[in-house]
Amino acid sequence: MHDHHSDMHPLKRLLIDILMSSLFIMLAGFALWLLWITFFRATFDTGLVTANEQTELERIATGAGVSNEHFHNVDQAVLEGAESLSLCLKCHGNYPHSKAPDVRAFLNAHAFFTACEACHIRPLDSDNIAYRWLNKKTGAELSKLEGKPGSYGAMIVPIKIVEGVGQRLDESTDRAFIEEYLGLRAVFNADQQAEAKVRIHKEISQKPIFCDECHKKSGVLNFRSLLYPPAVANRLETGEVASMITKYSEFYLPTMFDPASKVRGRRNRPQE
Amino acid sequence: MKTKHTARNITVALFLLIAFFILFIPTTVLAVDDENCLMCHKYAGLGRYAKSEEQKAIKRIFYVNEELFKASYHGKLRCKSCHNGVEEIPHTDVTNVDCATDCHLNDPSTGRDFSHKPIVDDLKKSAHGEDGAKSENIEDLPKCKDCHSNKPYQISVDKDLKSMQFIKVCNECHESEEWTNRFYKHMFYRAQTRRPSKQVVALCSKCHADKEKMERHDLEVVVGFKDTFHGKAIVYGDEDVANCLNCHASYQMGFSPHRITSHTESSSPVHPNNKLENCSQAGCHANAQEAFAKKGKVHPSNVVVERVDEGGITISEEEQEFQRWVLDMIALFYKILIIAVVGGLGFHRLADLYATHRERKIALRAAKLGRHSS
Repeated sequence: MHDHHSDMHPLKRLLIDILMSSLFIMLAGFALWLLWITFFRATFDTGLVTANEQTELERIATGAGVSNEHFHNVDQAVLEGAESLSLCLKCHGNYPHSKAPDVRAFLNAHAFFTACEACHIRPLDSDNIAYRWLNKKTGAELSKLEGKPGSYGAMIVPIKIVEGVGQRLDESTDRAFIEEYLGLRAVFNADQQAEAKVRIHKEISQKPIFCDECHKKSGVLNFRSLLYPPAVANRLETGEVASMITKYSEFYLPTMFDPASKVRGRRNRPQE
Repeated sequence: MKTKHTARNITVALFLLIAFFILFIPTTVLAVDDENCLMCHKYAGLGRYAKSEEQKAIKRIFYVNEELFKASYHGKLRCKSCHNGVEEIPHTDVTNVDCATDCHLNDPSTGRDFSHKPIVDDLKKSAHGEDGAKSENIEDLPKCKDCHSNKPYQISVDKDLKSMQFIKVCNECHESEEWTNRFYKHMFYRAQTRRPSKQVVALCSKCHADKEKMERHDLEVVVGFKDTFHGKAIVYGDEDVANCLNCHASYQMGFSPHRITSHTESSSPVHPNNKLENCSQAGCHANAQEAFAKKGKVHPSNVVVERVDEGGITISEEEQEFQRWVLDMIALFYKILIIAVVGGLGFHRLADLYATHRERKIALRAAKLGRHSS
């Protein structure tokens, strides 16, 4: 039998091939589309869709990347949260402070741009510690601060300098153990969890570095070497921020670590 | 005498100095967060977890994005206009925001202080309000914030030539550009944009598709809307079909979402007696007939089997189970059918392509052999 294909002009054959292939692609596309509308189509849930390269207002206009759950609109900065590679957040979450009612919100505000270890590891007098803004994703040191206050895509990280070499204190030396624990904690009983937690938190200081240890002249942090313009640095050291803390410390902080105060509420706390 | 003059001169100079500052400080400086709330509230992480009455963790976010707030409906208000009692830090003295308070903004339509009180009162009397609800579980009833957030006017003036020209015309008489800008956005945003139907359905479904909540209020749970013509069109973005509010709180029939009533009330647009008028609203089913309005089900429920039927006979649990099983089987059958038909077509095309390719190869070989033998 003689195949009609072999008689065809090569160009005609090419045309038929192209037509057939495109028909197949169209059919495959149609099949995928049908699958999509059957199983994955849009629903009434107006969940969040993240969108880049839009201003905040445009994002809201298109309903993307902004949650209307909050009356005052929550923007990308909140959705991304503390957004670091820190292992602490895996257990403690984006809003890790909850015990001290008077200051927990302030402390959480700091947690978005400060590594936990900056406050929760109290260096020895002999330690040479530098605090630097490091990019949350790449770890690169910032050379200037760009963005809204605190939202520079970076964190203040304590770096211990030993013989000229810097070591990030927010990177636990026990990472493998912690990651293993995260996988196992669900099956651990309370005692086992407690035992593991002792090891995980061995570097954490009992008494964290507190507000007024940084927000003062020559405090733990040098705001100028943390790239703040002099006017802002002054405000953080001695200006409105510092004066608020001073007032706050006098009236409210003495009871901060007193668990009973949580029950008593503010009415019974020492007043001016 | 001389001392007296000097004292007077100093007083006058001071007065002039103060007057100078009051008159010449740009108005924007006065309008910007003069309470300095943003000193703390500009930080994205300002927030914490709180416990609800049911001991559930609720995330409380205290962050305010200044740019978004200023562009929002309430962007001209000071924080303390709504948040009473934030004199102390931490704000343990703060009271819940009451939308019915006077805003101390002049309402240009009445000349009096503006307030949401009339709407709050309407809501109270409606099916969603303490006074109008038939159920006693008032803690479930929606509050203002459950449906409304302080969104920015989603209208861009700076990129639209027509809008910019229009505002220029306004500014011929009205001095403050900021004011005309805001006024324009308010009017045109409201005129052009309603809440998208998808969001309306999602919003109402938050409660009306919640089986437990509906049981608490002895209401029928709504789940079938998404399978109707209206529902499907809305899912794909059609804004011309009716969403929940178009039928249940039709403005054309004198209702509003804040004055919604139960479908059992004789005045309700979805009461059987009013359905015909409701369906034939302008822009909808203009030529609707009695039968269409009465018999058509706008959101048939696939859990209709759970309801007491019209004759007052409850369908048994087993019967319900069986009916659900039948429905599931029908759905499964169609899913398999779609996959088999479309998949089969695809497979057939692939096989056909392969066959053509193979035949061509054989033919070529045969032709070669033919040439050799000749």
